[in-house]
This record gives sequence, structure tokens and C-alpha cells, in this order.
Amino acid sequence: MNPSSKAEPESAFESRLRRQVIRPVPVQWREAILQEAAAAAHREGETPSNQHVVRRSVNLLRWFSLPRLGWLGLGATWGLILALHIAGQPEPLSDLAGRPPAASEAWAAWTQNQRELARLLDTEPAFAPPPASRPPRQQGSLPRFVPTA
Amino acid sequence: MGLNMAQPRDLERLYDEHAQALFAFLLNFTRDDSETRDLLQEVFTRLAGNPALLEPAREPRAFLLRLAHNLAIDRIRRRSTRASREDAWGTERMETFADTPDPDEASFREALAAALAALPPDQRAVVHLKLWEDLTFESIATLLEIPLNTAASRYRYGIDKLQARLRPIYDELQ
Repeated sequence: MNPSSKAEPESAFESRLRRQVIRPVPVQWREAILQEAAAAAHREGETPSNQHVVRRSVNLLRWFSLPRLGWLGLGATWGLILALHIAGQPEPLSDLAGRPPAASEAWAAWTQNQRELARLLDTEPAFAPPPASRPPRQQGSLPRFVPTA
Repeated sequence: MGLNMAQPRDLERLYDEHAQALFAFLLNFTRDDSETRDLLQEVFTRLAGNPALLEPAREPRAFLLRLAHNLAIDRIRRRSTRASREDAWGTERMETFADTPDPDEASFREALAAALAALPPDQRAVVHLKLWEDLTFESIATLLEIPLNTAASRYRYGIDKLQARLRPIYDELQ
């Protein structure tokens, strides 16, 4: 069926349907509906209109929909943010060569000083020597567990 | 179309020109007197509250029918959580057609009302707009926001169902 063919002949059945009259709108509805509509229009007139807010929002959206202006502006903003971010980064690691000695180096220097002092005074150093590393455990040095019963 | 709600006569004129068509469409679509009344009220309340609605409309009748249809669909959706209200609208028995002194015509109208009630609402809307508003399929498609072929096929399905259901009484009256 071609839907746009208005010339398609209407059947006798369709013509008969078309002749059937739908009942009229109740007369008493007219006044009530128009009164209520007028009251609604009056209420609408009393409330502050927000059309200007809607118009501003639409204009803003319209501005962003402009590809050259909107997207160039957005790109420039992001570029600026990136540049500021790079400029504010901390020093690179290669610049840390002149940093103060680490704690382990300071400890080693201090113990060396203490040893030297003890040697000069001919006394024992005032600190406990660092624990010797544990010798590797020999295999079978632990007692074997023998289940009883 | 310039509609100035500061002058209620504009709204009255609009009502007098289009209320019958809106009533017939809504009555056929909802199959419910009180729903039709509420929806008709809503159409004119919206128009009175926002007269600019009609400004871009080239054909006020088509625009108003579209507004009425959308409001009816919104109402169906709002009530979809309850028992299938859309079906309840369609199956409700009510007076759709005007009284006639001819008993044959009266029985045909009664059978037609029952057959229309048995159609799905989307088919009923297309059949109504084609037969009783004499709209083209293009206009119907625009009004109901459906593709052109969908409008045409809904009409054909609807007419075929009506014909199948009314064939006995139709043949008898011929």
C-alpha cells in the first residue's frame, strides 16, 4: 500500500464509518472549562515569569554549540591549566645530588666518631654494636617432631 | 496565530472552533467521559496559561489534536503503574456516537462503538483521525509522531479489524 496515495479509493465500508456522527461535546462543559482556563491564565500572570532564565540558558547552550568559538575557548583554557601545572612541578630527581646525607650515612659517621673517641679514651664504645647477621641455619639443626602414639 | 488571553473571547473562539474535534478524538481514544473532560480542560488551561504555544502552529486544529494526544499519552503513562489503564479505557462501554432515530443506524453505531473499543488505542487514534478528521497519512504521522508507513499500516489493520467484526451487521444493512 502506498501511504501517500490520497487518491486510493475509499471503500463503501469506510464511507459508512465516516458518516457516523460522534456525539457532541456536553454544552455545560464549555463554561466550566473556559472559566477554569481563564483562572489558570490569571494565576500564571501573577507568578513571576522565568522565561528570561530559560532564554539565558538557551543562549549559553547556543554559544557552546558554536564549534570554533566554544571549542577553541575550551582548548585554550585547558592549555593554560596544563602550562600552570607544568610550571608548578617539583625539582627533577637529578637535582637532588646535593641533598643532606641519609640517616644510615649519618649513623655510620656517628658510630665511627664514637669508636674513635673510645679508642682515644681506651674504653668500650658507649653504643651497642650492630647485631651480627644471623649465620645460615644448618639443615637438621632443629629437633625433629616425632608424633607419639 | 495571535492569541491574546487578555481577551477571553480568543479562548472562547478557540473552544468553539475546536472543542468538538478534540472531544471526539479524546472520547474515542480514552473511551472515558471523565478522562475526556479532564484532558479537554487541560488543553485549554495550557493554552490560557501559555498563549505562545499556538504561535508557531500553522494549523491550530492539528496542533491542538497533537497536544490532546500527548496529554492523553502522558496520563496513560502516569497511570501505567496501576492496572492496565490503557486497556481499561478501550474496553469501557460508553456512548460514543450521537443518537439517531433510525434503529438500524443505531444498532450499527452501537456495534461500531464496541468494535472501536476493541482496537488498540494507537490504531483507534489513526482510524479516528483518518475517518472523522479527514487527515492525510502525512498529517497523522506528524501529529502522532510516528513514521508515515506506521500510520498507514495502523489504519489498514484497524479498518480490517473493524470490517471483520462488523461484517454481519454491515452486510445485513446493505
